[in-house]
Amino acid sequence: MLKSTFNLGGIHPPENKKYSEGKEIRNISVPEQVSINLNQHIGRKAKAVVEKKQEVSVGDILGEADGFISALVHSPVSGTVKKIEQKMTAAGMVESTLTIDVDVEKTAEDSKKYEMKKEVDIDQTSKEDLLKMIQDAGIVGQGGATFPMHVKLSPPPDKQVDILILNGAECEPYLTADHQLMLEKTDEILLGVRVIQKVSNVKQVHIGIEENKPDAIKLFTERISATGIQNCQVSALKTKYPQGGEKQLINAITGREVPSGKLPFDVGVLVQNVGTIFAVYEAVFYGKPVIDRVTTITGFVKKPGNFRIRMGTAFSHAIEDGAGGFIDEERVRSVVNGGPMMGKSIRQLDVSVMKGTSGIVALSDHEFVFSEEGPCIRCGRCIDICPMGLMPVNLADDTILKNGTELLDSMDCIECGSCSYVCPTSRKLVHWIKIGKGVYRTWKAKEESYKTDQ
Amino acid sequence: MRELILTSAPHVRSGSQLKNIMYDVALALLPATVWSVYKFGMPALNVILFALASGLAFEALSLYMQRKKNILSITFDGSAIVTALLLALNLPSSSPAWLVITGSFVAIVIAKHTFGGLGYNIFNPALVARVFLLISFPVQMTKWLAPGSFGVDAETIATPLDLIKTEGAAGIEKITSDYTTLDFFLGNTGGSMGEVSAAMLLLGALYLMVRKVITWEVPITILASLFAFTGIFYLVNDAEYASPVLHLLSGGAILGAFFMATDMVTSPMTRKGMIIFGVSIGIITGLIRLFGGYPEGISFAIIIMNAVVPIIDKYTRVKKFGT
Amino acid sequence: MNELVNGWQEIAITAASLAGIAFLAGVALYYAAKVFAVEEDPMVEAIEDILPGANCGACGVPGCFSFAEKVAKTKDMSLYCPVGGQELSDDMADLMGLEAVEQDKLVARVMCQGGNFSTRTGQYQGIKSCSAVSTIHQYDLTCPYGCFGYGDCVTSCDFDAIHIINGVALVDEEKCTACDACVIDCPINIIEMQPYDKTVFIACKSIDSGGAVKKYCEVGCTGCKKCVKACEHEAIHFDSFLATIIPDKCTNCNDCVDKCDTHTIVISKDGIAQIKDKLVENAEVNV
Repeated sequence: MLKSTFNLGGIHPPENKKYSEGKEIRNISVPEQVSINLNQHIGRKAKAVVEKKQEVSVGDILGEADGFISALVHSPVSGTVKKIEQKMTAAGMVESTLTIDVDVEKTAEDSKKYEMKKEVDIDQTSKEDLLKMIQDAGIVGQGGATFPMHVKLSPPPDKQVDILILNGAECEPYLTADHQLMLEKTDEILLGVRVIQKVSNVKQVHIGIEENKPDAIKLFTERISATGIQNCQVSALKTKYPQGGEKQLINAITGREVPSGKLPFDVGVLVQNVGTIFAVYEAVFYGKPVIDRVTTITGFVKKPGNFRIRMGTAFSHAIEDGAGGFIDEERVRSVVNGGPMMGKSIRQLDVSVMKGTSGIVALSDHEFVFSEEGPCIRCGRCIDICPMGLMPVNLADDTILKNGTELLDSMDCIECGSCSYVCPTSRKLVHWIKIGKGVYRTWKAKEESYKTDQ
Repeated sequence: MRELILTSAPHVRSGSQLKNIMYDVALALLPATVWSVYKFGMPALNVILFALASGLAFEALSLYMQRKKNILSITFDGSAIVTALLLALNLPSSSPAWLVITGSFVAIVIAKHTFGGLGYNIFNPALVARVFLLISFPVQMTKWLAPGSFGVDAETIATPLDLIKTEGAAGIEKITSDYTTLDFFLGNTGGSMGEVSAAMLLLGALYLMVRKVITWEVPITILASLFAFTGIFYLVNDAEYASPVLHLLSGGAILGAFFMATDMVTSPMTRKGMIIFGVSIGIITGLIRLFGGYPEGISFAIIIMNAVVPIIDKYTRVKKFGT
Repeated sequence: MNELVNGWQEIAITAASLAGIAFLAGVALYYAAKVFAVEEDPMVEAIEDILPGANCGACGVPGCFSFAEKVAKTKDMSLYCPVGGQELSDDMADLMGLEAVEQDKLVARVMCQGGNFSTRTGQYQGIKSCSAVSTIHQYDLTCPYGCFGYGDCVTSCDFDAIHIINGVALVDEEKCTACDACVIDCPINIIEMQPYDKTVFIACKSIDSGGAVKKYCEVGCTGCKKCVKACEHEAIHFDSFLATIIPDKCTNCNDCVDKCDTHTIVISKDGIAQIKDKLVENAEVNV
């Protein structure tokens, strides 16, 4: 089989997937209190529609979408809203957060309604109805970007999407949630694929899986031929980070390059994460909104594995109940929301699981090595490995000098962190580039205001 | 539980650190260093030890004067050791101590720290020192001892490139009758301590390539363009001009191509730039060797090209994804 | 002897040819200046001469020259250079023969004095700059509204008027020229422009409830409303656990300052540092 990959750059960080690889997806118990952030997606934050002391049950809408680019937020539990306050989320933003006291028994009772599979004939259901189901379930991209799904499925009318790529690359080290989901829910995911096929009218479906997951590749190939889905094929990809980046995956599978500043549908491609597709399946066949998700808890914990976690569960509860706590609390140096390459370190374990939480990785003092930024020795490694063909070292220097004119390229950065990863003098290149984006925007706004002045 | 650390992603980092790179280079120079001691004896060892000691001392002193923190760890980050070692290998084994120490001073203090320290120097420090010494103290810098003869009755000989420069066609004849290609390869000719043995240098270079410390672009293009440039003249007139193989194996061509021109700080960052850089060095070296006033030109060629690296970097941008 | 003469000749030739070239170049330059001369309003130059020349951009145009151009062109006396202040406005008006417009002197004020009085959660180990912290949302300051104290405003200030003291930015109001640079550079918008002569302000931005604020900051506004009651001029606006002084109504009576238990309300003239010193003493006594 021909193994393809993206053209430019790329790195091979140690995978460290062995901790949680192949561990069955387990449920984490419902905690006594959950806190639901109203901004779990890109776009306008949801508006709270419940009040303090109001009774809510599983699946009730807590936050209403505010405009088109926004998503619903559902209650994952039954209980009483205790308070609505400003609180820091796992993404580091201060957002209005609902704290709900959970009625554990009632939650279990109410959750049963999502265990009944509905008979849905995809061919008979109209495109609009399917899209409505997805929108009502509040589905957002679960790979981490958290872009509302229904927006992604409604490209501008002049853009024709012909290829759907299912993103099962999971190139982030440590994470195995997508892998395990692909192994356990193969048929369900393929049904989800059919829903998307119908909604966005794609001709060809590619399932992109890196070759470090041979069992998933094999399983999908078998099930595709067994279920007889048309125009659907598995693309085995060479293992390389950041293969799971949208633009890199499109390049690896179709050879198309998304032009700078454009979106995947400009080249006629739609990329969806495996977890998202599974959520679509659940929404269509069970009427279930996004009230839980599959997440890897791994690293420096006693029992790493893959877990189905209710939204709003505190990290501390998830780590204690699911993963059996840290191996040695004193040695935990960093807890990351997401993968170690692109995730965000959190400051306290009281933050809660959100729609975009693809992993919780605890790093010990052994894995987490801090070193001061040194001077650039101009080795050019960051340029060699940049998957977007940028020159990270130049962008970082221009950011330090606040050189807005030179920073246009920074807007193309996908923030994969490869440059910081390889830098021999520990320069925080990707961080500088992120700042550079802000510098560029400020500079651009200033330029424009001067222009309009004259 | 202790306080959690907050940093920007990525939270894991590759093992390839500055220290590893620098010590890899030092390790790669080891075969040539050992060979030079074997060939030139105790004086060679003295030169190397003097260079290392004075290099590290000047480094620590410069850092102290800049009021840097953790002076010790920066001093031993390997870059000063590599510079000092390269300087030693670029000197004749007969160098007196004061010459070595002057060289270290020029390399570390003037060429490196007055430009801002590691990463900011425009010119390769070891080469600046070598060129400085060559111009200032030509007598001491060209007193080559014959390999294998040391002690009081050590005899001095001319390097092959010296012979070609001073005696022309007669010199070439003399070289071809005196030495076989194998002599050049193993280092049985006269010259700087480190540059005589192509075999030992290539061994180290191979190690660096395997460890991915250096890439092929710079050294291969230097050697190829030097080979091509001298080859053309050899084809035209093989009595007046020495063979390209001789040019590759004699003088500092291999040492310069693999260890000096590849210095990350002073070479271009992109692959395209490296090729331009390498080809230019090869041609300038050829020009100086065949038509210039000095028998050997690679040091000058590298330093000249070091100066234009910013321009090369500016005009050799990589292709951006999606353009 | 002969050689010497030759030598003199050589020098003479060199000198003569150089002089010739210099003369030709001079002539060329003279005509170039004539031909390519740019028409310029002398008023622009006159105004530029009296401008401070800081090129800070506080006036809203890219630099002092552009500002001078704009003033000369529009003859609008309400255009204001915050650095030069009222004095400069008067001078400009004199120069142009127009009536000066009265302007209020503004100063930047940091609406936070948390710093060492507020707690931190986690340990930030990254690029030490406020914009770096806010770009990646890695706040270690527990208070979500407070000053990080990494000093982006210090570097942005051209007039050395702002410093990090006790872990929080503090403006030297005598040096501050209200150029807006720090206001723009502060990623969490904690710096505000306020009238210089209204010396009382509430240095807190936290809209959290009193209990929450108390947990993480000794000097934060808890929303106790004592100041609102104390103020006879209805100059304190209160919304979501945060009091703010409305400068137009404030009379500098300082009634609220004494009532504030957390020392959140400060008098800038007294110097915030003094109040901080007091607090430090208190804290030591308590220990």
